[in-house]
Amino acid sequence: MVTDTSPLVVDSEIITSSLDDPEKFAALFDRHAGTLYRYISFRLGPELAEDLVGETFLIAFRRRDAYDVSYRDARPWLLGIATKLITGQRRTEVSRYRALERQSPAQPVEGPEEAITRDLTAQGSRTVLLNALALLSRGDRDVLLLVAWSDMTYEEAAHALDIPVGTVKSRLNRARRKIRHALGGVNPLEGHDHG
Amino acid sequence: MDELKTLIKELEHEPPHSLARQRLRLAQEATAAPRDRRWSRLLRHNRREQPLLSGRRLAMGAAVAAAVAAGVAVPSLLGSADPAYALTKNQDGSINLKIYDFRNPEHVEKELADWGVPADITYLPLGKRCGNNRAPFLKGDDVGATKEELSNSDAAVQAGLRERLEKSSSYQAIRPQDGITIYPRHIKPGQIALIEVMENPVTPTVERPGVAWQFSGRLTTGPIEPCKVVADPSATDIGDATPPAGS
Repeated sequence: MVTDTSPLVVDSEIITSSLDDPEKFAALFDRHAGTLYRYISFRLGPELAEDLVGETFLIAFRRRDAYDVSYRDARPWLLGIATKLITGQRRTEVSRYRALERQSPAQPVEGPEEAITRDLTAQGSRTVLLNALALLSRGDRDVLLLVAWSDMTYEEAAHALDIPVGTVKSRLNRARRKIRHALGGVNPLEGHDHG
Repeated sequence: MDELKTLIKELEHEPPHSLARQRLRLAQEATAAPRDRRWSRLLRHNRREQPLLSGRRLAMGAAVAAAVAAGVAVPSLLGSADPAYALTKNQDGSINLKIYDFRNPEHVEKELADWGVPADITYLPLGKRCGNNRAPFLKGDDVGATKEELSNSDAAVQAGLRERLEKSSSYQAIRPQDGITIYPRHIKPGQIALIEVMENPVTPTVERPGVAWQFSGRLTTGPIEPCKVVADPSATDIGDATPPAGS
């Protein structure tokens, strides 16, 4: 099937035209499947990501007649659907962060002292960050990771998750505060001896 | 939050070629279901014939009883020997619509308009439906139902779906209570009540149960396109649907 992926045609037009010609919806897949895969694989790992990309597009396809065409870019909508699917797998997500956290940090090899310190700092931050992500409530984590990953605006995130903008702001503030607190409260040189 | 960005880059994966399988999944669904009606079916309210309320005469009796209970009955088409419908205003501000004869929907529209409710009403025989979407959907009507939930027959899942559906903007405004009950306070300026009513020409009986009539109602901001009538084989499917509240 040949689909038009020209950027001159905005996403909302693809969705509108797919109402009469459903096969046109595949153009949206061609545009955004890779983006969705990266997002889902970062949160849940590659094993589940592929299937959930497919699931996201099937749900989007079935809801395409309810799409708000004032949003020309469909990414927030698609990422919102994917985020809700990820929320359904939150145990997998938390287990993933825990498992990554437990992985022993790479042993610094001989080298300049600054390089060793830098490695340990990065490793310590990573461990602390994974722990902090695992501890966030799912609502806070969804907003934080969606915004951090995609750089979408508060308004787009609110649209994506179907929550008020004020809720996006308060969740984001709370999540960031917790992450900063976790990162600031660690001595990176002592923070890597988990597991 | 540079640390978070670094972590994200570290944890995300490049899309594999096998993602093409998921594209195929989508393409198959798009080809097989030219127009997915699962969602609108949820917004449609099947009315199973109940022995106690069967027949138009009894339905009219129920309308009178309801009006008496509310105490502020405003019968419509006063003086008509054969009223096609009855509109009554309840004390809580809601408007009850009962249809006895499927003709002159524009009269219903006009009278509703007089009461401040912009409405677009279409009558169809059961087994037909409007094949086009006709008008934009409201954002507040998307309850985020997944494929699994829609096809899951488990009572708890269906109850959960119904609960979410009942919180939708359209359901708040147009409810399957005692016929059709419209709540003007849930209709915002600029919104139109888009109602399609399908009647079964054969009155179901206890021996031969079936759907007596059904309607779908939702709010829209318009513009509304004319109904393109198509066949709806699922219309007579009474399945194991739970009768809606108030029936």
